[in-house]
Amino acid sequence: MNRMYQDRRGLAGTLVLGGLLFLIPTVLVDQPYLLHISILICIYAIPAVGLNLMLGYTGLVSLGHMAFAGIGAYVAAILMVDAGWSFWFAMPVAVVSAGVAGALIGIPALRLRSHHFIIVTLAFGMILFLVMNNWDEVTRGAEGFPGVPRPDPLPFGGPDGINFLTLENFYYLSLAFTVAVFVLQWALVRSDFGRSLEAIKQDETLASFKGVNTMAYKVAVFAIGSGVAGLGGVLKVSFLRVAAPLSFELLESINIVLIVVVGGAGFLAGPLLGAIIFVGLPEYLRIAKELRLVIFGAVLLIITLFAPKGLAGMPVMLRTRLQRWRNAAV
Amino acid sequence: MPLFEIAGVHKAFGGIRALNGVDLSITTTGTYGLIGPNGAGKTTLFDIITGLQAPEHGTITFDDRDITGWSAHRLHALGVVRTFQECRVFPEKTCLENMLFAVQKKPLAAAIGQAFWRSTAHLRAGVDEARRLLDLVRLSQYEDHPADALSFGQKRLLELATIYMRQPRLLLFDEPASGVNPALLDTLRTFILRMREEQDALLILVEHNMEFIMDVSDHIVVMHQGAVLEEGAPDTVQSSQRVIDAYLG
Repeated sequence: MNRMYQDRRGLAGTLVLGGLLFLIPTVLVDQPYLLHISILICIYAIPAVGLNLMLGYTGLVSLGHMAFAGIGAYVAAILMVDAGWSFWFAMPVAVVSAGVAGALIGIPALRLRSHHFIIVTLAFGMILFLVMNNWDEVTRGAEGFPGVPRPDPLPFGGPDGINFLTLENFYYLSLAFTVAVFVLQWALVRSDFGRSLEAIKQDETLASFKGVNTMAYKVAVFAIGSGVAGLGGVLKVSFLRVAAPLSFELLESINIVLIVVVGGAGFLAGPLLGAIIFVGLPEYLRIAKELRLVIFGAVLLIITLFAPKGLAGMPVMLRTRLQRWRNAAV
Repeated sequence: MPLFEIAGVHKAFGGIRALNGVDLSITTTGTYGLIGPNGAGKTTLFDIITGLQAPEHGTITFDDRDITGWSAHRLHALGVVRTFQECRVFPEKTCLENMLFAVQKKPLAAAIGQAFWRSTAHLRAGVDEARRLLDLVRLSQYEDHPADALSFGQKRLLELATIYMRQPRLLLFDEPASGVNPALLDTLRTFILRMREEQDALLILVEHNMEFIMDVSDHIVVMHQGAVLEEGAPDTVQSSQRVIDAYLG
């Protein structure tokens, strides 16, 4: 089946990309700034995978996705700073909290269709931002939640274990989590669950008449996507050492939507390519000084116009066009 | 005890009464043609049987179970399936994927679990049957093509073939012959008759093509103004004065 081959090619492409990212610290010796950017790419790619499952594979457009990253981030920050938990215990609790929050919001919101659902996710994101920004006693308010620690050292890999205070080690940690969520995405998409999500995206009514409990599936993918976003949030605050409301505001949620769309919604490698473009390109374009954002906008415009399926969808699109061109020539 | 029973079903849309006390009792499997002029309430009745609309009064019973208001996925688990007037297939899935969708694991936990315990035995087991059915509707050569690439008539054939993948027990076809060209109509007719021989199911179909419906049905039910006007064997119904009056006004 064509799709299976496409999935295999997508997986191979993603693994090659992942392998190249693994080599980055070796290539970028003594370039901490570029390593910092590489970590941010991973931190943005993770919630983008969560949104890709929702938007790319199920057709659920959420404008409040980073709010769930915020839930994960603040739960982890509170557990680590106020309760003194280790990162390794706080992280799974934070991920589950974000996932449960996703399910709780999803149950009423997913009964709505299309733009009504989008508006609810938008409103949820804005409400959560206000909570993070104003609930001083718990979230420390607009100034953010300071003193979030890096993960505790792992007790192997040398006499002092592996500590994550160095950029290089934190990069490998971020990359490991990124690879893990991409493998999760691959496994889910190739399963009966993923095939039913795609069916829901193509025709929800038909999917229900083919035996899919569409509401349960949508809530499940919303919960999984939110949990994955929560993981991105935990890594972000642990890396930046502070949980700040601005990291999870509406603009960040819109950025994640753009990352998924520009990278290629519904393609395995889409979130990673989108994150590279969105986080990496503006930094690279600093050489263009004040024209930086103009060039960045132009690049996005060109991608949208000439690659409507996103960067990851370009090979498929080009192959289809080539086939049509060959057929016409015959 | 009836296999399938509709009792006193009423439905109105605003001031328009679409169903006005429909009663129908079917005791055996076979093919039942549901006919009637436009606005007689045939599609509304299908929508109520399959839970897309809620009746104001009345009950639907199948196999000793009151299925009134059941959701589509729950009905599917019971073996109740339907097609739509507008012909629905998954456009981006290939023809074979459309067929195999029927044998996928649908319970949520099993479907998610399949991501981690990657047994595809259930799909492999369905491939032969899927290919056989595709062959019967003459779509074998398109098994790897997306459904969207097919013509309307071919999509209709694919839609019907997918329905038979899981041996349904109650099938509701809403105007299966509409928009299908004469060549494909023959394939469709042959396919429905073949499936009737192979599978012991109750098929109820709505159709405006009288020649087609009389050919494939064992029994005809005529609806008029939201109620059952007449029922019986095709020959009997065709010669009924009440039916002729209802159609010709």
